Amino acid sequence: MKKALVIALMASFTVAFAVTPFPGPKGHKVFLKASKSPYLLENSVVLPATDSLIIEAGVEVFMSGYAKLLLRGSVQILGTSQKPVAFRNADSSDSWNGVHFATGSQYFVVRNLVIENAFRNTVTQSSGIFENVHFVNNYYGLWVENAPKVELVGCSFRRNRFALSVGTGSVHFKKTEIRDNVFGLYLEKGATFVGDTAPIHDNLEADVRRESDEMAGKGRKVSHSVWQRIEAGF
Amino acid sequence: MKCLVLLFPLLLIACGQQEVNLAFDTQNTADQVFSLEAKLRVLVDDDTSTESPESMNSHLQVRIHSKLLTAYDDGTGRFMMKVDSVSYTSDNRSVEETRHIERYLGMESFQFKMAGDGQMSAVNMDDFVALPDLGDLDIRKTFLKIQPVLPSSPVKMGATWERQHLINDEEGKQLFVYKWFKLEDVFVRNGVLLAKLQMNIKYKQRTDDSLHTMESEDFVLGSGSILFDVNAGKIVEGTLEVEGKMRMIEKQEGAADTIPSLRVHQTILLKSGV
Repeated sequence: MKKALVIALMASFTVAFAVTPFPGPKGHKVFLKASKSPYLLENSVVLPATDSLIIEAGVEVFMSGYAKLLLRGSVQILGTSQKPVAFRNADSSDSWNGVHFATGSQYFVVRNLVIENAFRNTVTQSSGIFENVHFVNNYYGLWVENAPKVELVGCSFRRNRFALSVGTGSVHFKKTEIRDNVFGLYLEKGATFVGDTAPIHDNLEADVRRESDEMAGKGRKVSHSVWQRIEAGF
Repeated sequence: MKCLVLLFPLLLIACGQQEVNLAFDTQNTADQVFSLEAKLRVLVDDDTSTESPESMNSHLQVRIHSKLLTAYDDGTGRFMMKVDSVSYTSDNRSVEETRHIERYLGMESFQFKMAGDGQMSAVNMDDFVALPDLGDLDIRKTFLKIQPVLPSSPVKMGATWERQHLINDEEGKQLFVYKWFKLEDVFVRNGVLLAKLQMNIKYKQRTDDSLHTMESEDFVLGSGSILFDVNAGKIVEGTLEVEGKMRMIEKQEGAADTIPSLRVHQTILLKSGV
């Protein structure tokens, strides 16, 4: 009797705390279902341009180690306001690498997502929309680099070191709030920003920083990113 | 006795009577551990300024282990290199960025095919997972610069040879590095027969990313030396000083060409078995 009770208890714990490993593509599609949530991404994953990612409302993905999610194919993250999707670190004391959108000509759609504790989330050479996405406690909340058009609608950035950084490219923003970060909006030399800067407030060091102004102020000719590209490319 | 066995051919080589065969062991080499170090200093090339020029300094040290995965019948071998530990400092990056670089480099692993002469091809990251993002570092480039290309036939002391080393990146872009070598010395150290090679390199740099084109105004030049374990067919240590003048061109439409020329100086040190 006791033995049966122990087994039943163990089984109920296993069910309660079960996590599903992040799946590989099936028929060029990775589909994360709410019924199998939470998922665990133990190693980094790259989805090529031929593989699409679809995430249902209510899915939670825990990222362990220095996991990186690099998305080159079509992306539809479809949370709802009642059941948002969440990307979180598995180990509360350690960050994960981040989610990277490099979808090229495939317009990505991300709705009702919470991204926490990543080092850097990026959009590179892609266009898409973030709607009601909350970037919380990341080092770079969102870094947009050479992206033709990225729209932020109803998003928020809180407790990030650099909330929103824009390299060259264009970011459009509506009803998006950037507050309680160390730096709010950082515009690298050559970046374009379209939107109202009023919702960017109460950031610790600066609400809006423009690299070209900083360089002129300090008499510098070489930007931070140029140094880094020389180092990476030489 | 072992000493005598080594000394006799050594005397013949030293007198220019006998040739030495230099080739990498690509068929049954044991696992190896390397320390690879790269110091980089970049300065704005501005003679007109009276103040000290803008600059950037970084120092990367990685411990890598290399493993032979497959030995092929044509004499080539497929190797895997995996980073065991990383130490990185830079005066242009924050503590968190530095830590980020250490963490992703620490997970880096790549495979390549190598012929007996040291020519490396298909130098690919495993599964593209650790592919560096824009502005992140890639140790493959550093490693390929210092990798010697050996003569295809035995050579005498003082012999010189030159080869082109083709370096392909993931996007299929090619960089030809011209490498010139001279067999300077052959000697025994701690019972190991070593060949000292003088190495000079030159290449024209042109690297494109989505925002900038980086190109060298003239040839990038480098010189250094390699100590090669003749019998084991492996590098013992190597040093290379590389210098060039770079131009960064912004691709953005209407961007004023305001980035000055930059002088780049890189020191690469490679040591086996540390």
